[in-house]
Amino acid sequence: MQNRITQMLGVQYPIVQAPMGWIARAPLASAVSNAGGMGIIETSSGALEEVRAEITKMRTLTDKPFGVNIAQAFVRDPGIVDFVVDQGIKFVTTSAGDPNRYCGPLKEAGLTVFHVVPTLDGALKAIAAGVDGLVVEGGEGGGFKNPRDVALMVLLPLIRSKVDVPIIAAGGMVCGRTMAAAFALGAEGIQMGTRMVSAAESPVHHNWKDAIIGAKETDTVFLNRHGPGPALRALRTEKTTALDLNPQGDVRPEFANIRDLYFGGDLEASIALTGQVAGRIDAVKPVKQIIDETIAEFEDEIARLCASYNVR
Amino acid sequence: MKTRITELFGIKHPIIQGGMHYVGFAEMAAAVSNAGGLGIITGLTQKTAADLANEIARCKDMTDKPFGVNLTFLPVVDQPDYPGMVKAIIEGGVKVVETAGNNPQSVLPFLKDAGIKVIHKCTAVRHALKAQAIGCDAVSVDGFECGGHPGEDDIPNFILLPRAADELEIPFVASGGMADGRSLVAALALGADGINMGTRFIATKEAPVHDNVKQALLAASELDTRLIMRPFRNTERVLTNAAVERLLEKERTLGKDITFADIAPEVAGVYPRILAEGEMDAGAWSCGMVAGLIHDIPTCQDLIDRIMAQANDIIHGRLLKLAD
Repeated sequence: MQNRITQMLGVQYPIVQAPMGWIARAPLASAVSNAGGMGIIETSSGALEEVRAEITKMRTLTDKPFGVNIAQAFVRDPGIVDFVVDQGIKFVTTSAGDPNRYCGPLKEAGLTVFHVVPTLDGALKAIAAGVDGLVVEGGEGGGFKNPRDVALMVLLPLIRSKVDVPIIAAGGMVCGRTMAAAFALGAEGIQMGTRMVSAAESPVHHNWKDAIIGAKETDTVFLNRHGPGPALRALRTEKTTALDLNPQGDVRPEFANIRDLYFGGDLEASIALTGQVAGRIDAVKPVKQIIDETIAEFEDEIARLCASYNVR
Repeated sequence: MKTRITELFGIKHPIIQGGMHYVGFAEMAAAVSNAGGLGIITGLTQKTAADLANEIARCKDMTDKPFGVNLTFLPVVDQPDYPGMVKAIIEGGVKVVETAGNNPQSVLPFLKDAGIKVIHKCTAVRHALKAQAIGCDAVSVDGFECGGHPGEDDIPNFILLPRAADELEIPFVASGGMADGRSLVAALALGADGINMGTRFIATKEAPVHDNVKQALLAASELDTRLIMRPFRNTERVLTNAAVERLLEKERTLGKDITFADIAPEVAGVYPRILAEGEMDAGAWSCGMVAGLIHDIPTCQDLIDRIMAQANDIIHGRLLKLAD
């Protein structure tokens, strides 16, 4: 399979792993890269020294391409661009901020830059900033969100019709059927978050993976739509249900205990950022199996469409 | 294109024009049916059963193709004359009924006995399974994107359609976010047998609504719909305007104390003023997120023809090339 995404990223398959804070580190990202996808190292949860250690670890775990995400709202160290360039990274996604801030210097250093966008307006700003591509994120996805959520079914073809750069679809991506649908709407790659959180190589506690496996599509909540602080989509728990019914304003202090949830398995300790696609995940699987099954199902689905709907 | 939906309803293309209040008149339904889709007359837009019988007769004068009637079952005390409307549908020789709202079980036996195919609108997989269990022939699966009443679960079609495909045995169409050949192929890939379009059909030459309404759709972005009446658990997706923002402000300030009387000025009896008279700030009217994808006002024939041509190009061009 060859398209602009596989060529620009130098990967076998146009499947990217989302940059979940604390989770998108070497064990998971290397599994994705080794399986032919694009593993991404997050830089939002720790100091640059921790990121440096993860990148060093990556180089021992894979000789395949991998990338780094810069979640701009969470950047602590102004030297992050120099750092990423020094590390020899070739692919960066930027998110949660003005695309003008890092795009120029990263591009000057020869890196490929994609910006994450939740609206058409955001997409046009990123194009004006000079990005090489877009990650178009629908309201379905987990994590920090645009408070005015737009479903991928509308957002993807809308942005596709206004820009020429390649698009990676994010939100709801889990299998070959969703990949085929995203490609029909104009995407050339897909990004998986919740599916990778619940992969065998994901470092999170099995309680969270089990909760994803057990979740129905109705088992996430969209919190804090009216601010202050960021809106987000998370797994429905006692805590997030209470926050949904009685909004407490900025929820960021809740993330102080995130490690007790992610790695300690106490689902009420904090907020488990999770997409609606949890309702379509029913087993923990190794990353390679997830990617191989997705590609096989994608090809089967296209063959089925071609055979069933030949109007020529 | 043949699908289980085209076979079930005897139509050329797997495209249904969903029932829309004060849009689904005979002119709309006939234009869609003549273009090879399935046009639908909105039952409750007609004041009486006799008016509905007349609208059905007018539609038959304009098309010899199959068309349907929408019957929405409302949770209200003063019930519309459903038995009379069912009689008008059966005696009018209508072949398809689209039911929506509450469980249509009470009228199902009469429709089935008359050989009428029934497609029920559902916003949740559990409702679709119920519709299948009581004997509906098909369902329309309405994602969170859809205009009108998307339910309270907020599940967009990228999640809802494959969930429905995994559980349902009867055929279903995707509703919500459907605009063009790209949406059709995406819906088929996610397991649907066709699509239902509402808002997209309002922006057609034949849609019997005021031109201001069509222009409002052309001007709208993907961010311009709002969810109203959530406190009543009767959520409706509408296009934003001054009245809608006023209504939302009331919902925010009144909180749990809000009553229907508080919002009546923005929702009661506003449809004819907006859709027929073009008073765009008169109140709240249903509109899908898909408004952001609407950039022109074609005829129904041109719209449907280009959807089918684009779908064909995507499947046999772009997608096939990738999988080879």
